[in-house]
Amino acid sequence: MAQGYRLVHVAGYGVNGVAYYAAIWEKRAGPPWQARHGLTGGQYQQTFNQLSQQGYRIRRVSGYFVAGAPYYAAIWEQRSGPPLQARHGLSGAGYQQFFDRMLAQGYRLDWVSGYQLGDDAHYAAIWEQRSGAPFQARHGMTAPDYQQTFNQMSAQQYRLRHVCGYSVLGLPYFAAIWEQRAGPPWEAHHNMTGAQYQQTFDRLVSGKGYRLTDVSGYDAGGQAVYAAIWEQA
Amino acid sequence: MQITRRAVLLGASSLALTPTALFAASPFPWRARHGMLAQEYQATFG
Repeated sequence: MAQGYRLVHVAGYGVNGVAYYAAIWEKRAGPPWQARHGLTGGQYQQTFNQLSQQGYRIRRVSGYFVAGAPYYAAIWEQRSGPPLQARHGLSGAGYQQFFDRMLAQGYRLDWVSGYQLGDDAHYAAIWEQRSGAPFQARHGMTAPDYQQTFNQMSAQQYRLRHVCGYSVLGLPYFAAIWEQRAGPPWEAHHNMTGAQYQQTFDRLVSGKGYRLTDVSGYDAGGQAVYAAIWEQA
Repeated sequence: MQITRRAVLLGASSLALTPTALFAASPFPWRARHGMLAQEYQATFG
């Protein structure tokens, strides 16, 4: 990437046994950052521990399933901040349990990534102990569940802050975070083929001056599809 | 705000997972790419 651009988002996804990546870079000042991809769970934990000792905080994590094995891509920033907790390899029940525990301790979910591990959905997530706009999070949603929840949240003025599409045993699921706050106009779309994603990108970015804030890829019947959020720049 | 519910297109054969470089001006310049293979993603780190 051209000089001065910093990686602010990465999503890994496996399609037909091949790992692919979607990423967003921004050209702006900021703290030092580091990124890794293709890490096993053990390597991710080891890197996490090493970078934590150097003052790096995890900013993004993406779990993805390729050829029968889970991998992780992540971004760290060297900066201070509120207390942070990150976990990976959580089952759906384990994630919910930890989510509830974090909520009781004043942590808010900052990021979540769903992915297949074995035959089940698992989650990697980041929590921060800080205040902020009311938020709601859901995971394990099918596409109809996601649409229904999206509509309900929209009716309550919740904005979609993050959505992660992921595939488990060939079926698409969604994990998402909504925040109840004002902000610029935005759009979110899911289950877009690569061509549809590109068309939507062009319509919103070139046509309306929006910028991409979130994108995830996942396998649908052996081809990559995308879920993404755009916001008016 | 809006969201469209799209049917998952199973078996579409015309999709090419070629990396797509995209750029737009905003308060700060930004770029996005998708469909990058590991080596292509690695190459973005220079």
